[in-house]
Amino acid sequence: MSDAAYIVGALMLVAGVVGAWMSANLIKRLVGVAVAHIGAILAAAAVGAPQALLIAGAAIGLATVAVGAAIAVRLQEAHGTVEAGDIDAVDRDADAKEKAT
Amino acid sequence: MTPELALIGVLAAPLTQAVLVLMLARPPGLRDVMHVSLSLFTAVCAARLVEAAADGEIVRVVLARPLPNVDLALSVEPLGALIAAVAGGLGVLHAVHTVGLVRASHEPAPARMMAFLALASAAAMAVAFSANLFTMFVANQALTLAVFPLVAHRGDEESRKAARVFLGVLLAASVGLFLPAMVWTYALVGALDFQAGGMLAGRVDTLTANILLTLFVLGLAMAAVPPLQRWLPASSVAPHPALVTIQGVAVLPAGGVGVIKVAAFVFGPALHDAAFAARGLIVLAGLGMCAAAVIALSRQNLRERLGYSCIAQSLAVVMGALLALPAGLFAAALQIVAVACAATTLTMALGTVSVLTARENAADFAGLGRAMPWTFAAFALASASMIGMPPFSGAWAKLWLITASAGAGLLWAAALAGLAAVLTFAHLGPLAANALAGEAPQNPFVRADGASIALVAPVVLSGAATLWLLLVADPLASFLSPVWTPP
Amino acid sequence: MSADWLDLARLHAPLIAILAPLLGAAASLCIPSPRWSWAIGVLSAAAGALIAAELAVRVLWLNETPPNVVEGVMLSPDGVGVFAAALISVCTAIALIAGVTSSEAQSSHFAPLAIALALFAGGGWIAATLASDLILVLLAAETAWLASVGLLVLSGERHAALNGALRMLIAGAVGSALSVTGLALIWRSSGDLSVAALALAEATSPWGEAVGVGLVLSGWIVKAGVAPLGFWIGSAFSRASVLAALCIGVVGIVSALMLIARIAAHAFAMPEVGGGLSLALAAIGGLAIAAGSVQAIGARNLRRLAAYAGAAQAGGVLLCVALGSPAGFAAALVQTTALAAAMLALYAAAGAGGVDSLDTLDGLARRAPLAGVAVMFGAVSLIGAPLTIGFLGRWRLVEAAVGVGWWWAVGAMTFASLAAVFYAGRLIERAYFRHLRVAPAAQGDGWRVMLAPALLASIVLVAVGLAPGALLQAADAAASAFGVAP
Repeated sequence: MSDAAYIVGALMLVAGVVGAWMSANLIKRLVGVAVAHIGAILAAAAVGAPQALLIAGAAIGLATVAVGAAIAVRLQEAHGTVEAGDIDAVDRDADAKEKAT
Repeated sequence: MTPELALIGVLAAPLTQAVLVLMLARPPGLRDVMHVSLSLFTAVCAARLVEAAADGEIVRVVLARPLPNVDLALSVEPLGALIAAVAGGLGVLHAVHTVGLVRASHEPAPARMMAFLALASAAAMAVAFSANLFTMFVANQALTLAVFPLVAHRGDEESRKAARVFLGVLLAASVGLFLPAMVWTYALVGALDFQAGGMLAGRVDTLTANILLTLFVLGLAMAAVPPLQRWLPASSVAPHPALVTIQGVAVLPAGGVGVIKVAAFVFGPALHDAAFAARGLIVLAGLGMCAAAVIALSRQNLRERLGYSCIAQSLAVVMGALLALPAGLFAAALQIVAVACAATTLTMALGTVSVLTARENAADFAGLGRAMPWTFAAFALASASMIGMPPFSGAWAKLWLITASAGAGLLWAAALAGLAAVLTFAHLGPLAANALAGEAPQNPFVRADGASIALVAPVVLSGAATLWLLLVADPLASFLSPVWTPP
Repeated sequence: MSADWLDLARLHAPLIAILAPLLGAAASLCIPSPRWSWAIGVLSAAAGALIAAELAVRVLWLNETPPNVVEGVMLSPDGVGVFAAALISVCTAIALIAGVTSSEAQSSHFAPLAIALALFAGGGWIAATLASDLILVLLAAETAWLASVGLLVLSGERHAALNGALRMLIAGAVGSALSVTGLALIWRSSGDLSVAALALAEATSPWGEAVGVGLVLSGWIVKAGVAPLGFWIGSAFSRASVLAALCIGVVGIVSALMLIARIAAHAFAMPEVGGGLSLALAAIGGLAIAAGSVQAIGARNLRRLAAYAGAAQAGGVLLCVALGSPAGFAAALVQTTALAAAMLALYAAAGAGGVDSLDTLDGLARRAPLAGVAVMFGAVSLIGAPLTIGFLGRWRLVEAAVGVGWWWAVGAMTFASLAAVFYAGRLIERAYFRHLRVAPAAQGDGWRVMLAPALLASIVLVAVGLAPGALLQAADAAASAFGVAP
């Protein structure tokens, strides 16, 4: 049982990291972060790590996703999109404009 | 003056000079007095150190201890003292000439230029007196950084590009080649102090010795060994006083001293272990010498022609130093002295001619000797010395070089040196002859008042200096002998 | 009476070094006036720096044993930790002085919040370097990281820096997920999560322990912005305020490197862990030098350039750590100090001179001579020119590396220096040999105080380069207890 949980946790971690790294959509990235964290905590629980580690991991994950969601909302308000490519393009335009003036 | 004080003096005087020249930029009178008098003081200090070296005194000054086991230190030995004294003496003439030149030519920001000339001279002194590889490395970098603003002095796109080449080649060679060689030497020996007899002797295997020698000699890009010679032709856009510093009194001599110090004090007998690399570098130097002389022949602009000519001369120093014979080291030291005198004369003469007649092309020089007899007499003397015509100092250096090459069994090296001399004759001889013998041009001067004494006297005096080796070649050999004799 | 208090303070120096910035953060948050908030913040950061520096002097120069007091939360200052705490707290204080005096920070009504976050980040990093328990190290580092992200969110006008902040956040979060997994693996193989136990762990499976330590470190390698894992730094820095750039680019990177050095120093005591760890760190370090240098050569924005240059330098620090010998750890400490001083000089001078893209650097020496001097010294130290602390750091690395036959490290350092000649040489050329062509950004209306940190950093760069005895002694003392001598 604990072996299975361990393997599932590790897989979630890998999937989450890949999602957070590769995805173009900011919300998907945040979901990736959340999945990675849950996977990490699951794996830790499976090997019987002390409660302190589990709580710390959960707190870190929660705080990160919360802050990330807040930033994503602000980005959506500012740019009307949550696609990383679009936002980067807007930033590049702003840089170019700044240089031109 | 104790030798220690003099040793601090050769470094402190030019530094003070730089600061004072900048602070007293206006009125120009005080600035010029400071520039010349502190150069004179530097020369006096250097002369005092020659005396100390002749007496065999051990003089060492530690400036800082930036690394455990490695000092930033200066020490006096005959080779460094000799070159420093020559550079110091020529430096006084150069200072007077610079004063005359900036007054006649209305060069922009003259005080800044003089300050960097002084800094370059301080750095060159530090190279000459460096007590270990680390100090030499630092001094080389300082020299590069001090001359860089001189090359970029005019501030236009062309000179800035030239300055970038200058800085890029010299710094990259020193960081990319010299520094690893230094670290390697430190790893082998555990110290970096120069010592007669070679610090690597008996501590290095053949392969390492070969690689190290290549890294060191190419890393000292100031000696202009191809393929790292590009900085010198590039820097020919610099103002005339900077050209004198680069080709005559600071940069090229520093490169030559560096190579001799590496050959004598780092390798010594270990040079025989690196025979393969030494042979290769001698080939490189010999072919480079001839190629530079040919390229010089193709250049009509005299700044460029002199630049290539100086590359050819400087490579003779490298060739002599790598022959692994006392006679070769002596030839190399003589060659540095001879080139310093001749190149200083030629570049200063070029500056005088250029500022008075606005002519810089070989074809325009015909007959100018009739209008400016003194300047062109000195020009001819220096050209003869560069070519290696007896009885001028260049001849002694060439003679020793050819003898040493033959002594080392490298007849082809001797032949290459001879060929380079012939080619040098081809690009300098007719020029001087034409200037003196040709028909005098109408109204050559762009300035009505003619030449000031400050523009002509230094040229004449340094031209006369090309004769002095004739008198002192033998005493010099015994003076320099500690360089190749292990204690 | 006061002597008693002083002794008490000394006894609890590690705790006070952590609490001073944290309490300062709370206090400055309560004060609405930016100036007063700044004053309180600087005072508390300076107090913390003083305490931490005094602790470092006692432990590293006078060879006292570090106080090991139960503080409710467990702290166990070791040599590297004490050195790191002093360095980080000094950097935090300087960053506050330089960062907040700029006009952009004063005009914002978020200034007290930004000051509080900067202090909070500093306190968090210091706690992480002193904590005795790996869970606590992780928690402290993550809070510091989140505070840094918050600082970046606050910088710039409107939403300028949000994109970079989110990237930074996600990169850090990935790192923390890896670290949590790593801790779980360490727990599984040794059943103990205290830092000291890493050295004596009687691991049931050394392989699991090695992977665990590797995962924990990889989390911080991401946070140190070490290329190729530092993909966040480019976008984070181009729009950061001066304070954010200083807190992330100097305090954050230095702290993450110090954490790596500290944990690795303990873990290297296990030979099974040491070998693989050494290989991995060396590979990442080498890659980082290459990638960071290339990116820095291509950068068009001064802060980005500095960040990439910092990443390349950080690669050098990882190489030192990878050596795993006392000499290697000492070299890592020296190099991190060099990195901190050079980055402080560059960021603070850029802030004071109103420089952001490289075009606005043109002619800086004429407009703002002192800022020009700071840029020059920072650049020269990045190049690793002799007689600067940058050269010292590289020399120590090369010395230690050659001692164990790592000749390729000499090549890597040479490459780093050559690349630095190009990108840092360009800074000097622009500042000294060009005339301004574009209108400079807001400049001249910051407080004059702002230049003091840049100049201080420049003086340190050269003074330590000329007389490095004290720093070398401290680094050697800090690292002496760790690692396996070759």
